[in-house]
Amino acid sequence: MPSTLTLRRQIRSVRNTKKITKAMELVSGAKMRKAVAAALATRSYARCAWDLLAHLSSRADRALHPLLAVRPIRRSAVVILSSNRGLCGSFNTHLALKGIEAIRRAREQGARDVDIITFGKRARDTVARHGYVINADFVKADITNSITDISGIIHMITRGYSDGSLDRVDIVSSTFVSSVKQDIEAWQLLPLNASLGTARGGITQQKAEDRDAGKADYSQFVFEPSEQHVLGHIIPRLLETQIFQSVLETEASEHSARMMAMHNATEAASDMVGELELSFNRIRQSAITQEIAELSAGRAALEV
Amino acid sequence: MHLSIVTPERIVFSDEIEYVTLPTEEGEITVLEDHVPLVGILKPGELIISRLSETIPLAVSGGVVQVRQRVITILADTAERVEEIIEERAEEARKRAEEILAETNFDAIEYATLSAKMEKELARLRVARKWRKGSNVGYRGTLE
Repeated sequence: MPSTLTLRRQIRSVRNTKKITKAMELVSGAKMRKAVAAALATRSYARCAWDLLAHLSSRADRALHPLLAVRPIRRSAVVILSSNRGLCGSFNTHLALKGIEAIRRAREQGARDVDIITFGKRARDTVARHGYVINADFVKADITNSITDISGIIHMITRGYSDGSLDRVDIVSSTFVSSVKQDIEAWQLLPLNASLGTARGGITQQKAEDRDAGKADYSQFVFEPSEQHVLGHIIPRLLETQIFQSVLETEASEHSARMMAMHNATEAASDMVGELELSFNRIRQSAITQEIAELSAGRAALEV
Repeated sequence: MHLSIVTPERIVFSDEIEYVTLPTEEGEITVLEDHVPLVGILKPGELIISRLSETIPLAVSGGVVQVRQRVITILADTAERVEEIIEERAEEARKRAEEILAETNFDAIEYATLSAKMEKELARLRVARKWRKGSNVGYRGTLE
């Protein structure tokens, strides 16, 4: 049986940990609100942009823009987003595992080389530990404010795809659903594919009638000034928007995952303190009982 | 006809309208009911929404417009209602951009960014001045 002293020490240490996790919960709560507001604000823009991209890619002549090209897949890239810091439960592990799954799938589908691009320290480390060679790692700031913060990745992907050194690009990211739910998924960014819009679930929610109406008349779409000029102008920007949005969503998910993890830790610490206090009291009481028993036994011996 | 104007920050407008006038790279166009499907590039300038007895002017700074049968979607970089533009501040921003542009040497990217900013501020100012209350005689719409 542990002594009351060791128990008291344990209780104190658990209480201290609880204070820390509580503080971290509050901090990530504040960060989460900011990150969620940023992600939600641009979400409808990103959805409209994806919608437009999906439509354009299904109707436009794919020879008109290098980013619209579809080639047999020889070399593919997987971009894995994650956070820089841990203590957010299984969030980063899930991202990394989804990433590895995406890499394997790309190999199975005939890609000879799979480039691994990471954004965020955590998944980078996990993927590297699994023995994969990371081709490029971009340094992620803790908060991504503007699209220029991710221009490196964008440049690498679009250039690679345009000059034919990449035939497919997948992104592994997390979509913020609510503070207790985040969807981690791997999705195909390039080649653009109209059916992906619906496959990506949350991102396009287009009415079926709208889509059917579109089918009939997209062949005679008017581009102003010219199809080539319009596509050249908008496709890179719409792609940028997609990548930017998934970074924002991943950040919002990260902070909510951390808040939940810290919340759970605080609760676990409370439970633990309760249990420790119970056994502390039991030991104390049994010591007192024993002392009284000894006292009265001693007195009884004297009286006789 | 349904029009939605979306910027990276928010949904600026989403409602039924009669027609809309847009500044495209090719010049100003007005989109009425049953317009042919169209995809075009917007440049900084003035966008006018008309519906029933109301005219809503906005300042936009470039973007993309997509017209589908009865749905117009505008993905704008920024879009502001006239009431939201504070003229003094817009003027200040324009001056600042102009000064920086005149003073320093830049590489091509910085120069392009700045002159795009100039163009945008100029468009805002133009729209704000034109639609400012009292300055447009015979204007029948409401500015709230």
